[in-house]
Amino acid sequence: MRREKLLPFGPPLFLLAAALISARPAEETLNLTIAAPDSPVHESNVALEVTMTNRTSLPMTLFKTNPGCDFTAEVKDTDGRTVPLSQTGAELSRCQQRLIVGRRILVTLKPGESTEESYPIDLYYSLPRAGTFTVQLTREVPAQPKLVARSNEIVLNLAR
Amino acid sequence: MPLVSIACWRKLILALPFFVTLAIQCGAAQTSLPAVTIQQTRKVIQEQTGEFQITITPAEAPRPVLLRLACDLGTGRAIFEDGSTEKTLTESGTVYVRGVTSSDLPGALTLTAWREGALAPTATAFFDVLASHLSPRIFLEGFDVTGTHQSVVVGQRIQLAVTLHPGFQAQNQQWSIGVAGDYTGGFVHTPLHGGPQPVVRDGSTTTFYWVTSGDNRRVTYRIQLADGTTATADVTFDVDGPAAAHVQVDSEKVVITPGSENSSLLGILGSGISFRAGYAPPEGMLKNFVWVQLIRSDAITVNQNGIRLHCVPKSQPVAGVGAGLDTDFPYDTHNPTFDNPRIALPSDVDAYSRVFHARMFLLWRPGLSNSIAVPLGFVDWSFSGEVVRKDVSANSWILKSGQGGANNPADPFTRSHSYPLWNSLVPYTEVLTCN
Repeated sequence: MRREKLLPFGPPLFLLAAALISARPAEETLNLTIAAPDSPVHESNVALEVTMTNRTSLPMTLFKTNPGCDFTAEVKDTDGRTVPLSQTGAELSRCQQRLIVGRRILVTLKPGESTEESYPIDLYYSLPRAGTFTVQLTREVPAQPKLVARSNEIVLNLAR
Repeated sequence: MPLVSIACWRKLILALPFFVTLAIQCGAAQTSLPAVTIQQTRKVIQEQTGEFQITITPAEAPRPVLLRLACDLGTGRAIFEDGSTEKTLTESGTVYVRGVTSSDLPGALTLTAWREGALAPTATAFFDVLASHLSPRIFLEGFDVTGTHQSVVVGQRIQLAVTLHPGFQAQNQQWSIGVAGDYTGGFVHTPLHGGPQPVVRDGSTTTFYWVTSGDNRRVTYRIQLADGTTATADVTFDVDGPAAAHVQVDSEKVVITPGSENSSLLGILGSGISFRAGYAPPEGMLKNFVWVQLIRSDAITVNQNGIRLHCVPKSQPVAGVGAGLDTDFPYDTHNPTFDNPRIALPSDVDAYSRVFHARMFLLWRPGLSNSIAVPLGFVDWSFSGEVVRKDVSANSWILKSGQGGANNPADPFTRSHSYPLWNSLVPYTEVLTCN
């Protein structure tokens, strides 16, 4: 018999979402910038390039784990409706109580230094072609889980 | 006032075949006016003479017209018999045009007829100078590289094109690039799929990337025309790339370490296993490190309340042995990079064992526009551990066995130009698939 086991039964995802929503913005600490595609995207797999910059005067350490765990995306259609995570995306974003620790890369950013990461948005959201969406990413600030860094908002124009 | 409108010219250009192009007066209102007709009666071949029939009407009272040869675009060039590009004709007759340079763009040469004082030609014929023999030229990024040596680096996009005059009816066009494995058509890397792409070798263009370095790589273009004529053109590449690639692998012992909130972790001590790469980049180019890890298998056995579960990390789409791309592409871009396949040991489980096999690839990106990363080699490594619970209340565990590190510690790095290939993603989130 095949079954999926959630170990060790961590808190529901909405608690994480609620925590992020209630968290304070942190523009002055960790700066997130998404590079917006210049032209309509024809590719079937879109990965957003995210640049994380340490805006503090002290070294900052952060972990790169799973993009679905590191970032929370807010995706809206042209009517302003929020696009939910796909079923796959929701599974891939269950991160709070991981039994198995996967990639966990420690990055230390000096003041003003940046590191890049890709966020494969098509992996988490079923974005219909064609369509136009706004995307914004947030991420907890390392060592300050009450703070979230919020990226610029980009317009993603997906073509057939 | 021009006798032939622009709309009329367009109709003529579209309606007439390539090598016999007519220019005639259009419109009923113009039929009674003096007119000139140009008809190509023999095609113009390079270093040979073609013919145009010029008819000036009305024949009983002809006026002289000035004939001009010009090339608006491209390489084609033609002259009259006397070597000039202008000639005056007082009555209808045949003019001879000699081909000097063959055309690379169809219909770019014109023979125009001008009445005295006119601001626009009375008649125009579009024509080509055909090459005397089939002689294809290879272009790389817009430059003619036929018969030359080109210095490039691995991963650089090589986009070759041959522009043939449409007058040549190609039956078969083929590119011969060399030894399979020395090049690729591209490298696709999405979370769910990754691997090299085939090269399209049929047709007048081809795009590929050298994956291995080496000199005197000859690329040959072959064409066969419908009449059986064949021709070839080639260009030779000297390909530079990173040299002396190596990866040093270090791993600590397998241990049980305290986790957060009364939990324990089975894993490798400290940062885990480390991969430190080194190589000599091509002259003038920078070092960079693109790590890609593929999970080859990851089997976890869980004993819980007397039931033994065989589990794998959930992958997308489901893979039987928990295989696929580890987390993201790339895994990391720092050097060294680390991994530590730790597993949490919750108190409601009696025993755990894990057997993990992975392959860490090292790739190099040339950093040029439109370039791709090329593989330098890989390290096969493994981790295994078996633990049983010692005390429920303290959540303490006994390590029965454990080892981790490169499969071949003496020579861990295998130089290889094979791309990582995957069709699933192992995200390492909360979900285990068990049976």
